[in-house]
Amino acid sequence: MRTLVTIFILVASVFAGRAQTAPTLGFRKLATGEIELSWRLEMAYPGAADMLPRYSIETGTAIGEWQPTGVILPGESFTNITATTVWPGLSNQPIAFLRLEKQLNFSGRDLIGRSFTNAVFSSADFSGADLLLANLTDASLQNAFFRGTDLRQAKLNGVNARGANFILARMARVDLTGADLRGADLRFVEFTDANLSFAQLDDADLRGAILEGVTNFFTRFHGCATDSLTVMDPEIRAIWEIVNNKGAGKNFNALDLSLADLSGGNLTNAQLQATDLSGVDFQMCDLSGANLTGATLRFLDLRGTKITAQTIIASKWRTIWDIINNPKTNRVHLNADFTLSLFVDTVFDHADLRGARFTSGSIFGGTFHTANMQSANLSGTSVFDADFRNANLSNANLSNASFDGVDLTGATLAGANSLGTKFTNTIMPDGTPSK
Amino acid sequence: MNRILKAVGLLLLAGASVLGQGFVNFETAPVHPVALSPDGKVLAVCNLPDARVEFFEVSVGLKAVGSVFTGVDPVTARFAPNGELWVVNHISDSISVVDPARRVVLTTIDCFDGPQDVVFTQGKAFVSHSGVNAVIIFDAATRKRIGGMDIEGDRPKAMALSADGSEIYVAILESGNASTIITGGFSGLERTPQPSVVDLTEGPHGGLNPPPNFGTNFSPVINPKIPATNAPPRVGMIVRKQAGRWLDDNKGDWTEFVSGTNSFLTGRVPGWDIADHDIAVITATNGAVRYIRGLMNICFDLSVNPVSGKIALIGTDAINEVRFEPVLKSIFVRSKLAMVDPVNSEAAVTDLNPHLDYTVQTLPISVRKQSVGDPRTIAWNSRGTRAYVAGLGSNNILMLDGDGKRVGHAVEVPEGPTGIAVDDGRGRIYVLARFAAKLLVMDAESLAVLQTVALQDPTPPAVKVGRKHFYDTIKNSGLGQVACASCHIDGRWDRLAWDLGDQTGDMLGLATRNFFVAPTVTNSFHPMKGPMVTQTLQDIIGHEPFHWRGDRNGIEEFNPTFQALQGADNELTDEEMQEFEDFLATITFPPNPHRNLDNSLPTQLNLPLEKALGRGNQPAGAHMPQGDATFGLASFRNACLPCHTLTGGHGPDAIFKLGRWQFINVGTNSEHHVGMVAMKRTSELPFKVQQLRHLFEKNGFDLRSTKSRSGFGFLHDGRVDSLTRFIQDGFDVTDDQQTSDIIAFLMAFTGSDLPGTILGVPTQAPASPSKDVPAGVGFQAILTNSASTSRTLFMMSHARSATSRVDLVVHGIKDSLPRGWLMRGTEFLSDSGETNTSSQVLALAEEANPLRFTLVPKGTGTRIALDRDGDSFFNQIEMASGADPDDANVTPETTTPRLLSIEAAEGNLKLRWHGKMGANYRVQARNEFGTGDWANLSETITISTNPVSWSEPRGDGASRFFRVIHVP
Repeated sequence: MRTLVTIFILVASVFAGRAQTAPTLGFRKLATGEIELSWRLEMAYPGAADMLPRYSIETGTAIGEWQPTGVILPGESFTNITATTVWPGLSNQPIAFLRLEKQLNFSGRDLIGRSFTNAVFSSADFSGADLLLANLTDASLQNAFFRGTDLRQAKLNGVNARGANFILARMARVDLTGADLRGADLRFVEFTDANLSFAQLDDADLRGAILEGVTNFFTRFHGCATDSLTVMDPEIRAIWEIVNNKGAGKNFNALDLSLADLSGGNLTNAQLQATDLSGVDFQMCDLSGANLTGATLRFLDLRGTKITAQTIIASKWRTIWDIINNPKTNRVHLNADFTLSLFVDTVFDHADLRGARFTSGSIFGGTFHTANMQSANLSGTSVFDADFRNANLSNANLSNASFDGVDLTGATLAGANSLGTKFTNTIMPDGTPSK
Repeated sequence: MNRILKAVGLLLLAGASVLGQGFVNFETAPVHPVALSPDGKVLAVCNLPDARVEFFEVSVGLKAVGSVFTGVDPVTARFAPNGELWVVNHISDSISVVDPARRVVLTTIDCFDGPQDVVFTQGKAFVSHSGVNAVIIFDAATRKRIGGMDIEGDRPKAMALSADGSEIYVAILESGNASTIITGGFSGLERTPQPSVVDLTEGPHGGLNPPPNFGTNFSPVINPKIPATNAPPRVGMIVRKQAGRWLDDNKGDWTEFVSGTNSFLTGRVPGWDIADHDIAVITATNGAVRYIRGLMNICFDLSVNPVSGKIALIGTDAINEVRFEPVLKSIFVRSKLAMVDPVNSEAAVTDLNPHLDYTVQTLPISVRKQSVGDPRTIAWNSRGTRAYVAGLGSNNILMLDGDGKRVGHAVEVPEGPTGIAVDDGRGRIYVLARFAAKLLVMDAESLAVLQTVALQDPTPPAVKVGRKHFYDTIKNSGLGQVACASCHIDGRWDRLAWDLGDQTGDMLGLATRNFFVAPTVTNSFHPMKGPMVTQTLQDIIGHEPFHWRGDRNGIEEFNPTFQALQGADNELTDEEMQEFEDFLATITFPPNPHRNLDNSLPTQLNLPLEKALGRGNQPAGAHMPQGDATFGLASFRNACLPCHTLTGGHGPDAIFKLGRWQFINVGTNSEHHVGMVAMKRTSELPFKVQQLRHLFEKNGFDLRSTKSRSGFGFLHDGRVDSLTRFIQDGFDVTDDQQTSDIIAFLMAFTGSDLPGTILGVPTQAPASPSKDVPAGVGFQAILTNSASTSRTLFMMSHARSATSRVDLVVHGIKDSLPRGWLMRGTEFLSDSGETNTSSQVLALAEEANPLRFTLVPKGTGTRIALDRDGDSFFNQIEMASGADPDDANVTPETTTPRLLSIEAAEGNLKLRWHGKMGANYRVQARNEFGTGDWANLSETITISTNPVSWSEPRGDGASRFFRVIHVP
């Protein structure tokens, strides 16, 4: 009796990776009853002829119940751009499923100095590979494996390596600027002298990792797991403690925490005397009772920051904190000192800011509608995307200031010092765009 | 004569060698130093310290019939089928082919580095070479090199033939025991130690580091007096492959991390494995090589049972995967016998000490004496019913039955039994007691000592007296089978790492250390220190402190080890410790095989075991290019000084202050203060800056191979598998050529003659002198006619140079007598005190009696060429005067008469004796042997020529007893 065979061919990339292109599979039944599978070979990375995926054949009697057949077909074993393999017939089964899984397995490979910018290596396995000095800028490395991999001095800036496994990887002097390492397994990784600026390590596992000499501008260590074996420079340890609710009451005096991302941190009753807090992101950080006496305070991002009466902080910054977190119109800050400060989406509508000093500060967004800023000093200040419509900037010092994306419609600039002032993408007081 | 004696006296006044001074101790071990001629008439014995082979007639007892100089450190003597004796000279890298009847060296065969043994079959001679890990094949008739094969193992040494001669078996001395180190690898000195897989929670001990050694606990417990703030350092682990799994001493299974899918985490490739080759089996016809593995880690000797055909391999096996000194006390090494069926490679490995169960750590001395320690030699009788094993350390001989089971008791013999030859025809065995310099005749069944013959031995007292503290397993251990030499094989190493921390110990202070870079966190040594590779003991004295950590101020601080690790009854006394130190102070690095013969640095050195990492222009895995050590020296001076000084590589024994380097005064025990460092992460594990003189012996560990030759490499715990990795990963060098150049220099490090330093320059730290010899030492040439060759011209030029550290000696035949010459300036001083021109010496060379030139260490030439016994009287002068050139107690000045013969012929009784020229003698006689007065038979006889004769008519036939006395 002849059995009608129904074959479903499914195709998946390795480990259900998301970003890899699944192989487009063709199949036909041969006279012998066997199944011929064919698909187009492709390199794992354009131009990398030595980096071909390998293909695993799995079968199942139901979707989702895959059983590896043990057959692994290395891409290198095919001479043509189209791969073909013949699979024994499945005629003795009423229904069968067959799938071809594309796997990116480059474990143990010598890839020193290779360039893989923007590569899609999600779920790929580079365990034990040598990627010294390799360039993986902006590559997608989600859930990839780099166990014991040599990534020293590699460029991994901008990579998406969420959930990737880097256990015991050697990453001294690696450039991870802007990398997304959320949820990555970074246990016992050697990060000595690495650049982790702007990298997101949220919920990463840093147990046993070594973070000495690391550049960590705005690096997020939120939710990172560490342990007694984790080696961190004092500053990084402080940041990690602060953002992981371990900073309350601690002494962080005299540390250099400049450009740290302390958002959401807990610094309740903490000692920050003489600490360099330049540019620190204090968003949603609790500074209740903290002592910032003598701290270097510049460009603080105080959005959502909790400052209480017990917080010891320069009045200038308490004022700025109030402005940022208590938006209201008609403020009066005659001759106020706002130098080297950061205002983001701040409301200064109808404010009296005559003589106020915003010197060398930064203003991102926010509204200064109809604000009176006569003789205000914005020398060297950077203003982005703010609303200065009908503001009075007469006699203001705008020398060397930059206005980018600012709306100055109706603003008064009479007598203003605009020596060296740059207007970019800005609507000038007469409603015309800046030149 | 008087003129000659005067000349000798002047020579002595000029500082020629005397006993004990003209000797350099490489602590070379003999391999097969005793051989009985195929006709059973002649016994040949390598007298290693005397650089000679000695011949004995064996028809009755042993009768010395002469000796001949062969080369530096002869280790093996084997008779070829044609009756020639081939003597393997280990340091000379040569084979001397000797006519045993005439005791003349017929020719000298050049070998590669480190020849050890030779066997003959199918018209070919197979010679093992431990220096280049190869067996080289020579045509036994033409003596030309006709082939060879690499041996995948370290230091192939002893050899044996299959019963039918179709196969050659080679014991691989440092074969390893399938143990290896797992660590976090290496990515730079300042980043060492790296995080390690041992710390991983996925590991068998949940990330505890160091892991417990007994379940979840330490046994014994960690000293509770150590503050919790002084945690033991996080270290690597030693694991050993057992039944296919990589296990630690607490049954922790690390297989996944050593050879499995997570092997990358220890820097390895999946499937990583160790070759663990113990015996190489070579097919004589085609040179094919196969291996027998998994037997023991030090394979000293093998011999084939002529009846069963089984290979009997003896050696030792270490349990270095077991941690901590208290646990390892007395039991860390076992003496082993493997009976191997070469047909199917099946082996039965048994303990040569079945009376030991290793559950106790000390036994009574009477039981201990039954143990065999450091088993060096095994020999079968022709019936395959008895094998004899020599315990070099236990100073005894064992007898085994045909199955390898012990028969009877071990029999104590003089110190250092090493070579055995079996004389089936006479029911004897001949045993060389190497340290005692004695040759024994023993009954083959009862092992009773029938005769003892002392060999001429120039070994200085410091060596002879102190050796026992190093080798003697009975005296120095609790069970009788271990001593210092159990791991420091022949004063060197065992190619293993050990974790000999003692958790019951106390913290040790760092006082008196000369820190180049001081520790910042702790100020003391924790008694648990983690795995450390066994260090060579060559030239260690004077380079204190000791150990990788520098945690021993001097050798005296090792005294507790005799009890704590070896299980000895007592520590050494102060006097014994001084003897021990004096012995160690003699051990000298042998000639560097990578230097040019003039001791200059090589400029095109092949680096066959160094593989590129892909950092430079060579693809990963490719062989590194040849290295130019002269460029490497320049890089070294720029980058490695002043931490590593020239010429030994140690840290400076000096500090830089007041604008100049100033040597540090020695301590109360004359200990020195070699520089130490504590890098950023090594504060808990500070290190002595290590010497660099035997790096080339450490190759073989390969993390990227599935057949690594060794389990340990460079650095304190052996974590670094190649010098390429050490240099490129450690110092960010990416230029492969520069890397090769530095490696070439490191390979050529020992040998001294390196640039000096400048005391006023901080980066030019001064060096301590290195106890080594130049590369040319041992080099030989042979002349069969009077024409110089480029080789002899080089040797003469090299020896004559102002900075030379070699003597040139020449051996040959003149007037049918074996003679020796020592080059002095442009001329040659002969062993009769004459001075000859080179032409006069060269004129003696002829086909049947070649002249042999040998470069020997400076200061040893007088002994080797002119004055064998070092008594200040040259050999020919002694012979001419009837003195003994082989006996320093019998000189031309010796007045004691030496009776040569008593003959009764033609009605006369004739006495002949030797005495001092010009001295007076008288012949006396009496009728009873033990009683009665001596009657003068002669007037006073003043000797004017030697020997002197006296005769008188024979009497009435009654017995009489004669004597010759010196009359003052």
